[in-house]
This record gives sequence, C-alpha cells and structure tokens, in this order.
Amino acid sequence: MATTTIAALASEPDPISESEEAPTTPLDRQLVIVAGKGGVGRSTVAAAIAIDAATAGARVLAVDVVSDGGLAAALGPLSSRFDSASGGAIEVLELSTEEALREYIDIYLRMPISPTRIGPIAGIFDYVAAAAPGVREILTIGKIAYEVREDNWDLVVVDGPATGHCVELLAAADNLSDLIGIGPLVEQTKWVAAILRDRAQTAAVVVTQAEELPVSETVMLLERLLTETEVDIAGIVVNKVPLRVDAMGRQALADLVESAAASGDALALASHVALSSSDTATEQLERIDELECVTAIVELSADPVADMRRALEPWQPEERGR
Amino acid sequence: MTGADELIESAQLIIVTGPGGVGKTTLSAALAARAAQLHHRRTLVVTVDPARRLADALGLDEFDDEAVLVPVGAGDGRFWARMVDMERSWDALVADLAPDQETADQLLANRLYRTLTQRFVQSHDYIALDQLVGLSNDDRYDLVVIDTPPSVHALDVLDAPERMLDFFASRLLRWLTAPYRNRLVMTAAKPFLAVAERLLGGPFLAEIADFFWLFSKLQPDFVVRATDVRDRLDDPATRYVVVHTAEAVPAQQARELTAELGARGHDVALRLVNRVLPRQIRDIADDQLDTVANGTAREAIEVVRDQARRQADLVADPDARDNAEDAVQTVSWHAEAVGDLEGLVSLLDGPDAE
Repeated sequence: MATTTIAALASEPDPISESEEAPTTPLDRQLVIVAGKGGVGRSTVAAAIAIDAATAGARVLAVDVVSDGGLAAALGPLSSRFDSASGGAIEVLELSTEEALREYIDIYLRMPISPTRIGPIAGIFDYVAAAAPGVREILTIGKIAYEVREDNWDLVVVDGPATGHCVELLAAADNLSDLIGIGPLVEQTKWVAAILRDRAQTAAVVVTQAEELPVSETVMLLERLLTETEVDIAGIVVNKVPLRVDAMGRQALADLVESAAASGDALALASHVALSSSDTATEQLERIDELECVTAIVELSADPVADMRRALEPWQPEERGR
Repeated sequence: MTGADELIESAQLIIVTGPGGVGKTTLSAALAARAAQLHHRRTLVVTVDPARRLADALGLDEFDDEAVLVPVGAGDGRFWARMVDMERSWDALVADLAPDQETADQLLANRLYRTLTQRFVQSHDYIALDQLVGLSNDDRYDLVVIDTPPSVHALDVLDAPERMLDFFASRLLRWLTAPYRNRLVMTAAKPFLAVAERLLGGPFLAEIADFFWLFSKLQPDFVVRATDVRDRLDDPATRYVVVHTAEAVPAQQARELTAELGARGHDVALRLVNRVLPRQIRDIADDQLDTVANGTAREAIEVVRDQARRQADLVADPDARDNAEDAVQTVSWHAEAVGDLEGLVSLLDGPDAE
C-alpha cells in the first residue's frame, strides 16, 4: 500500500508582491502550470488538479501544450472521480503551434487568412519560431494568459512541456521584449508577464520522482525557474514514491539480507531490493526537502485526486479573491 | 539464443534507443565496456547526458568533449567514452561547413545562433547523430555505440537528419531570404510575410532573415552531411537496440518503437529489458511472508514480490514478445546507479539459468 504524506510548509512572503493578495493555499490560483521531466507524471498531476477543482464546482480549462493527447489520456481513468453535480466542468484544449497561431491571428491581428492557408503558414512559422527564441512560446503562453485575463474560467491548468521548454514558455514574455524591442508582440508580452509574475494568480507545480536523474533535473528546473522567470512555485509533487521502511523495518530487512544472502534465498533477495529502493527514495526525498523554494511536497499515491485535494484544502472556488 | 554478447562481438555501429528513464545510457556504456573487456574490441560509447555516478565511473568531465580512455584490464580491448557537448559540437559543425571563415564568424556571433544549438529543427537530436559521420570512418574503433538523447518521441532522433534536409528544401528559406533576391515577385510568400511582419515587426523579421540567409550558406555542405548521416542510419550494418523496463507503459512504448523501426526497415537486433527482479522473488508464498515479524518489512517485501509478479506477467505476455525470433535479453535489477566498470560489464551477464 502506498503511503501519502503532505508537508505543507509556511510560504516565505515575497517582499515585492507582499501588497498583493496572497494565496491561502499552494494551489489557490487561477493559473497553474505543471512542469517536470518527461515521463514522471505531469499529465496525471494536471488531470488530478483539474478534476478536483471541477468537482468542487470550478469551471476548468485544461491545456495540453505538448498536444499529444497525454492530458486527455490522463483525464480518462480519473474521470470517474469527477462529480458534475456541483456545476463544475472541464474543457480540454490541445494547443499546437498551428492552433496557437490561428488563435493569435484571430484575437490580435484580425487579419483575414483563409483556414486552408493557416496550415502551411504555421508549418513555415515553426521554423521561424524555432530560431527566434520565445516566438512560439509567446503564442502559446499568450493564448493561455488571454483565457486567464478574460476571466473565462475559475482555473486554467496547463500540462506543460518538459523541463527546459517549460522555462522557455514561462520566460518567453521577458526574453522576447528584450529581443524584439517594438511591435504588437512586445505590447502583448507586458500583460502576459504581469499575469505570470502575480503570485495571487499564477503558480507552477513541479512533478518529479524519488530517483537520482529526475531529482537532479528537478533541481536544475527549479534553479532556472527561480532565475529566469518570476513565476511562484507552489510545490513539488513526487510521483511513484516506493514504500519507505522505518528504522525497525530497516533493521529487520537488513537481518534477512544478512542471514540468508549466501543461499540466494528469495526473501533475502526481496529484502535487498526493498531496502535499496527504500534507501534511494529516502535519500532523494531528502534532496527535495532541502530545496528552499518549496512550499509544499505532495507524494502521489494511487489516488492522485485525493492527494491534490489535500494539497488544495481549504480551497473553495467561491471564496477565491481576485 | 542470441543476446548482447553475439551482437557486440561483431557489430560495428549500434544505435541504442527506447523510452525515457529506462537506463539507455547505462546499458549503452555496458555494451561498449563489455565488448572491450570480454571480446577484446576497441570500442567507443557516445552519450549526451549521463547520470553523475556513471559519468564518474567512466571518468567523464562535463566540460570536456573528448573521448576518455577507460581502463578495462589487461586484454587487448580498449574502451573509450565520450560525452557530447552540444554547443561545442554545433560550433565545430558550423566552422566545418561554412564556405569561408567570415561566414562562420558572422554565424557564431549572431544572437539568434545560440538558440539554434538548443532547439532548432531538433538540433539536439541531430547533433547526437552527426557524430556518426566522423566516427564511422575512424579506424581507431571497432565498435561505436551511440546512446540517443531523451526525446518526447524516441524516433524524433532518427528523423532529425531528414528534418534538417526538409528545412533546407523548404519554402521558408526562399521566402525569408527573398530580399537578397526579389521578394516582390514571390506572391506565394505574401500571406506568410504579412503575418510575420505584423507579428514580429519589420526590424526583427529582417534580423531573422539575416540569420537564415547566413545559415543558408551552409546548405550545400549541410545537405551532403545530413544525407550522409541518414545513409548511415539506413545502412544494413547499423544495428538497433531497444531498451525498456518490465513495466507496462515503457514496454508498450518499446513495442510501438520496435514496430515503427521495422516500418523504416530497421530490424531491432536486440531488446534489453532492464531492471528485471530475480525470478525467485515471484515465488515467495504468503506463509513465507508471515515469517517476517516486522510489519513494515513484511509490507516492503510484499510490494517487491508483487512487482516481480507483474514483471513476470509482462515478460510472459505473448503480445510483449513480438515474434519468436525477437532477440530479448533481460537485465537483472541493480541498485539505481552503477558506479564502476565491473558493475557495468556484469549487467549484461544474462539471466541466471531459468
């Protein structure tokens, strides 16, 4: 059986934004971006946040930035946990570059471009966007921030791209204005950046696993988020944490390994594996605990919706301020 | 049964691929290390981003792009490991392909150039494979093992040379560099240029055009180069190894990957199933569990046993074995990070008699 513990530590108030309305819980925001290494369970966490908020009555926009159906796939198995009786709803938006460009032209440029031409333009635009830092990202984050600004939803939750790309997404508004100088995109970057740095509105959640490589990548991701963006970090979710044994259990396992190791006994082998994964998990969780910027650490169990709910308490949609 | 040893005693080039987080880098190093130590070959493993302990074990320094000779014992075999430095490799490539020093200097100084080394047209993926060109003509090595970088889709890596070729063939280059020819006559480019100019502003668009114009000077040699890389990937002598773990999702991803590789004409020479728990663990009976007095210890052992049983189901699942000829080798569970050469070599000892 998986264990679930939540350590919600007091959040250090940021002197710059002290005057702003502070969130009461780590996830009490209008825009939550889920970041992390590929394969650690970002989509699951984004889906769990969406379902929990919708069950509490919120209208939720769940955005899949990678646009590979991963978020929809993660919502599927969890959807039985969603109770629409409270009036909540979830809409999924898969935001490819093409889709983001189409939206952008619609909303900002108001240029008549026939739908059949958008595809080729977006395809070529991909190359431009790839070379010019932040162009692709600003289209994506611009659309997301637009949904927040227009107040279309109680919560916009973003299943973000993997590590480095996520930093680029969140830093795009700042980077691009340095690079371009003037133009319609630069005007837009100003209010997008304002929404992202407002900790009353926006937070990032970082997902990881209690293993060496994912934790190392998380340390790097947090460093970059802190230095290259102004987005508040709500907490870290640790997925697939192996069972950790206490000191007595550890001794019992060590004794079993000791007593029967020579005979290749199955119990001894299993004890060795259990001991090793428990020690690795403990060691890696300690590394996560040492990260100072973290306000909450959530270990994901077999019931991610309940885990995220505990992290969200005492969140109520109608009590949330602007 | 064909396994890792059969493969590494004769192969000259091995590409290791698979879903993220399954231990590709470790097993790539293990293949090369074992070929050197047990088969007395001169081998090189090329990797992008090894875990700290593995890098330490191989003597790799993150600021060094050179191949490092790793001692493997008294035999004739030699084992080198090399960690590719992306930026440095791109700089070297640009210097190599630019028609003249001036173009190279201008490109390297362009403020848009740095982003190219990070994400332009899967440049990350491309540069890992670009190593193929120099290496496969290098007679210092009998066997080169290329560890592919983590990618959202493992096949993106293999598609990277093709994408690079597509880019040079695309209309974008013609459109953006049109000012240097004649943009006015290019009616097809108008909607794109109109959107791009509104979006980015004239000066920035001009800067982007500048960059692409510079980059396009690399085209003739770059096309030859990327074609060369693609040909080497398609060469029947190039062997593909797919790595995954005995868990449902990675195993499924590996199946899809194997099928897609097959569709491209690349047969998978070997599938390595990593971190398989010793099979005796599956047979631990409940009454055996009950002999463990400590509750948490008992629970921890039960978790491991159940995991072993799930792995057994997966390995025995006929769908998981694509066909009878499919060469599969399981790699026993090992403590997370392998920290020494002996540990690496023994990873591929093969399963104990089953």
